[in-house]
Amino acid sequence: MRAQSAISSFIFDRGASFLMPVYDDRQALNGLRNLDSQVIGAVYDQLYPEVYRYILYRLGDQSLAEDLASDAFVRLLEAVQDKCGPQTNLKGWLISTASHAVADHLRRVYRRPTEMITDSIPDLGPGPQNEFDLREQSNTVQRAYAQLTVEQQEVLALRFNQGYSLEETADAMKKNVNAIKAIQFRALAALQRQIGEVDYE
Amino acid sequence: MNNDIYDVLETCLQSIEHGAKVDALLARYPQFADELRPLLKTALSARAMPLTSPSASGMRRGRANLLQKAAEMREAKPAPRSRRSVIPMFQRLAISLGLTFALVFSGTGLVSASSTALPGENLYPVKRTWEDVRLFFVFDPSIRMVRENEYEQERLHEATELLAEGRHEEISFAGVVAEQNGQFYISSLPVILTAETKGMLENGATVMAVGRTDALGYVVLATVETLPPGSMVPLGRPIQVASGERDEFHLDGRIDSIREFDLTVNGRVVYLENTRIEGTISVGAQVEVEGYFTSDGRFIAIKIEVEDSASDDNGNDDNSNDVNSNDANSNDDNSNDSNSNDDSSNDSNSNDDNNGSDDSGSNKDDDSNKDEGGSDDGGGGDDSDSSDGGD
Repeated sequence: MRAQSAISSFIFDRGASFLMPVYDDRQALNGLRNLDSQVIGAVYDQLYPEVYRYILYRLGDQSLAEDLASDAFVRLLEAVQDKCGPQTNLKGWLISTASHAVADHLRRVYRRPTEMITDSIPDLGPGPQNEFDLREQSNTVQRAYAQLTVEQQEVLALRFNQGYSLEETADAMKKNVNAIKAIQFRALAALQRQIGEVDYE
Repeated sequence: MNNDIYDVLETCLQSIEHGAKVDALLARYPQFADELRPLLKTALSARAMPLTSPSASGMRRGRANLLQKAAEMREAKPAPRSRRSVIPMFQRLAISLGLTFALVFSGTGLVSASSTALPGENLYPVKRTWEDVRLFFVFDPSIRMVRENEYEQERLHEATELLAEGRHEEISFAGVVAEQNGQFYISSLPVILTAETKGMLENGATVMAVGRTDALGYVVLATVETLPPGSMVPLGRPIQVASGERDEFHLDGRIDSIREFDLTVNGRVVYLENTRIEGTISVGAQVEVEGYFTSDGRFIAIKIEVEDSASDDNGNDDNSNDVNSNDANSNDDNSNDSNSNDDSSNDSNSNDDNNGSDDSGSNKDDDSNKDEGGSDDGGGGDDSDSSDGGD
């Protein structure tokens, strides 16, 4: 037991960027409370890519995703200092904070739209043949995704981007499992409607 | 029905996640196949939505930003040391409150009783400890200084009283050295240097002195330590009366003994040389002596004035006279001796106040007095304590 914790702290001390996370959230939280820059750096290195990917999935904008993801970590630091931060699940807290940030961003965009999103859904080609087509297809899905309700987007992001289980998704969204089942059904249906029938085989 | 398809969809999604093929799944739920097919394919594309990894530069930027923020927070955060100093502050407060209560409810009698204790007495350690305790809980440096000064004054006062009573006690006190006609004073207390005395006396120096009081009204010094410049020490009372070519001194006190060429006033030998004496001197009489020191340290009286306490039953008058005469001499009302004119001093005058209208009753009232014979003139209360018994 002792050896294991020694190993995990060794791995943790080395910086989690090299290795998969093997450390204790509580240990990390302690470091965050003490504003230990080593711990802060390690937490960032480890969790930033996931937070970034989540936001990118939701918004499809790289630089925006970078900014919002980075904000989420600053908020984490502030929340921990104000003692209203996460108690155990660091990543969960970060994703939920990112989700709020995305919702805020979307509200701003809706209130003051700078570009018409629905304008540019292109006709769908016969299917991806090369890189370009792949990107094109991803753009299609992205645009279609943007048409979903915030709730639907979030369920899809958590389930298909973050790999959350049904229960975890329900937990993160503070809804019951059956509601999530319904939302994901409707979300997929709506997405499919937006994309149109595509045959991937 | 709806619930069913929600559940089937969920089961299929989980299977896809574990590598199941869409067609196989559809075959498993033929009744939902038509509805499920587009959903599962959409799910696949939603899963497969390719996402670029965060750019290295973006990640670095975010990291630097975060660490910068952490550094700012570290600075804004109160440093641990200040927290350390806050906690002892509370502890001290708690201790002081606790002690205060303890002393208020258990020991005030003792403390107040000790307030007039002199060195060598049983309660004296209580008095000193209480002073230390009070000093310990003073946090304001200026108040602390005032109080320290007050305690040094108290040391001087104790020494004065010991000398007046002619007791032999170890004392230590701080003061300023003054030399008059070969006699050294430390803050108006006459001191004697012996061969054993450690340290030097220098006129005007501020010193911490340790010594012993003797019956003749001197402090025999054991050690003298010069204090650093700027130390606050009590100056004592002025001992010098400036007049003409000679330095004249003023002495108030009670006559302890009378001999052919000298008398002892408050333990100090006063030599008579062409002395003008006003009134009738007698042992126990309250006198005012003016005189000077010769180069060999003797105190020569020029004028001795006996206060007419015997004929006057109103002791308060006496006191006011004293004050007046002292004022005339630019002394303050307490000279460097026994404080005879001081109502609150250790001796005598209590009966003046209590029953000044009845001088014959005064002695019986004051049972601590052990006066010798002359009860009439003793009505002034000048004869009081054990030191009288010596002669």
